[in-house]
Amino acid sequence: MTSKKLERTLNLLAELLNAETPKSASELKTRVGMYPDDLAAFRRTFDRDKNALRDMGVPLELAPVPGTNPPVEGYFINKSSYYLKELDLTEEELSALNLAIASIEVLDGLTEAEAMRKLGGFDEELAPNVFKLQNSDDEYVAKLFDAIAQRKQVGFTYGSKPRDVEPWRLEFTNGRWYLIGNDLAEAAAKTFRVDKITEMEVDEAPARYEIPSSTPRVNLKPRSYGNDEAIETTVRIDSDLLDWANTSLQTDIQIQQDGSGIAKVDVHNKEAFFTRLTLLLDHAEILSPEEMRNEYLAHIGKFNEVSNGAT
Amino acid sequence: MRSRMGQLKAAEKLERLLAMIPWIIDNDGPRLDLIAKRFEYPEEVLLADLTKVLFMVGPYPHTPDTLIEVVIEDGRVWIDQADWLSRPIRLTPEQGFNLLRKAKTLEFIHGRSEAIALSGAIDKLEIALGQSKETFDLDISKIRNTDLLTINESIREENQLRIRYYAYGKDENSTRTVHPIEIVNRDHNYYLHAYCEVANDYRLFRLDRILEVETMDKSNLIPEEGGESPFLEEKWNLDVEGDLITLNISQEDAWMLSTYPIEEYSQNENGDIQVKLVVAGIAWLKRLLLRLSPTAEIIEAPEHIPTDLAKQAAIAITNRYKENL
Repeated sequence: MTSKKLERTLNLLAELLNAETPKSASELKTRVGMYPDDLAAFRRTFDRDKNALRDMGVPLELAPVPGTNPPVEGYFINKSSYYLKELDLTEEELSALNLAIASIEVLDGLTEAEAMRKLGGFDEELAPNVFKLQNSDDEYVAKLFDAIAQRKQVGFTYGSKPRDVEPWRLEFTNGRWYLIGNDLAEAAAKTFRVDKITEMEVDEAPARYEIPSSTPRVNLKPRSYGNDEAIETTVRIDSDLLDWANTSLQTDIQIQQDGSGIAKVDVHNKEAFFTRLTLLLDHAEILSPEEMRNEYLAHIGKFNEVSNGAT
Repeated sequence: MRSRMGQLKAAEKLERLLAMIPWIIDNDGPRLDLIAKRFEYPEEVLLADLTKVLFMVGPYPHTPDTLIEVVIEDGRVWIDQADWLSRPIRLTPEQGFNLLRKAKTLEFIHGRSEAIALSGAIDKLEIALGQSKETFDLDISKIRNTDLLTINESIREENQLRIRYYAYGKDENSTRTVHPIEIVNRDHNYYLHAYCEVANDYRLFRLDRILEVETMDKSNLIPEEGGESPFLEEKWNLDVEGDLITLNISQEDAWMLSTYPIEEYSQNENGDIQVKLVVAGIAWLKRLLLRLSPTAEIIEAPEHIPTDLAKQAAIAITNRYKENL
């Protein structure tokens, strides 16, 4: 039974990939020659075969059959979207990709074995997974990936506001996916957190917009927010917290002879910088400029003045 | 996953055949057993499907000149008259996205200059998928890749690791011997999942708080009595103290409700919010309080948590500045 189904689906694909124009269901029935005569049974079987092809990623589309009046809907496969572009991977490259998929497992994600077979398969034993990445709970991230590839405009709701965006770049940073794109209403590049995007629709037709040759990056350094003039601030950090401070302040730290570290930070937004600095508690100290030192002390002093609880 | 040999469904056969046919055409008579292994297709079933099914496939009118030609000789396979199947189907968006994501993650871990074959594959994949370095990028630089590489190798080689770890909640560093299992990411952070000899249990260590790692020349041995893996139990096993406190915060600080793990909260008539939450440690609570407005108050807490903790933390900071006038 399975062989019959396989043969029939392959023959259906043979018809569709060799056709120049859309073919109606009844024409496909005749040409494939393996469908039941009974109309209802044919419909059921034909639907199952179409679904099997679509599930595999076959871009099966509907369009009017030429020369029919009244128009009859027919099926066709756009060849340019069916075939994988020539990759020409060497065995070493395939093996490296194989190692990547073997090392990294996306929890609850799709298996890449099918993707690897499309690229030429592999015959090495799979190594155990070392990395387990959380499955991206951002349902739109793969759709945006495809929209960028096809230069398709997207519409979505973000912060309760509808947006029309030409997507340019997907960036994973600080544990989240971000979309950077041209917000058409504002005619400006904007950054959106993908997990906050809702009600997204991708335009059917490619918009054929240009992606700039150098797309803006996600900028998450809180002290860089805002437009205040930069104040170069020097901070001493105790040796114990150096490594952690390095990631927390996201800046290079110069290690001193006594083991402590000196970080130079361009502060554009004092409040954001102070919030970051409080994470280091009394393990860090602003050395200069004096004005920043005093302002930070005033900021911290507010907690000194409040008589909360048992004082 | 390796296939459950001999149990391929029709859809799985279809997918594998469409992937292997272009490869067979490209590779001038590859051996049947190699094809079977490479495309995870049981050899006997493959032989039957090539000779009895594929042999019957082609466009209308199914005459010998339109049907696919399959020749099997001396265990080698040739396929002809299958131009329409000489290229594989494109990757689905999900497949392309996940493949590129994984490849780029591993490239980041190894460093581009060390992962030449992988980088070559990524370049080709990007072109085929309509992407570029400008349109798709991963930055996991919160973690130093030298550490990741060491951890990665220890997991593969099954070696123990010595780590110096900063316990954020307790605000202290400690050195521990751990038996690494895997690296996981959850809630936007990366963790080393390992058996910890100090805790005598499984723990998750946030990678950006691992201050140093050193591979030890000792095999990874995970004691059987060491408790269950947190992933089997589906629970977090971080070094968390379980104290429950209640805070009174103003509207201005309502952001913390969506940022911190809150047990419950309620709102007063004056708009203030009472929040119950589990404290991960005294230092952790100090940091939280200093992020809130100065009017935030601890209104209920176990005895060892002073209700004027924010003030104490602020005084400690101020004192440091006084010492260095």
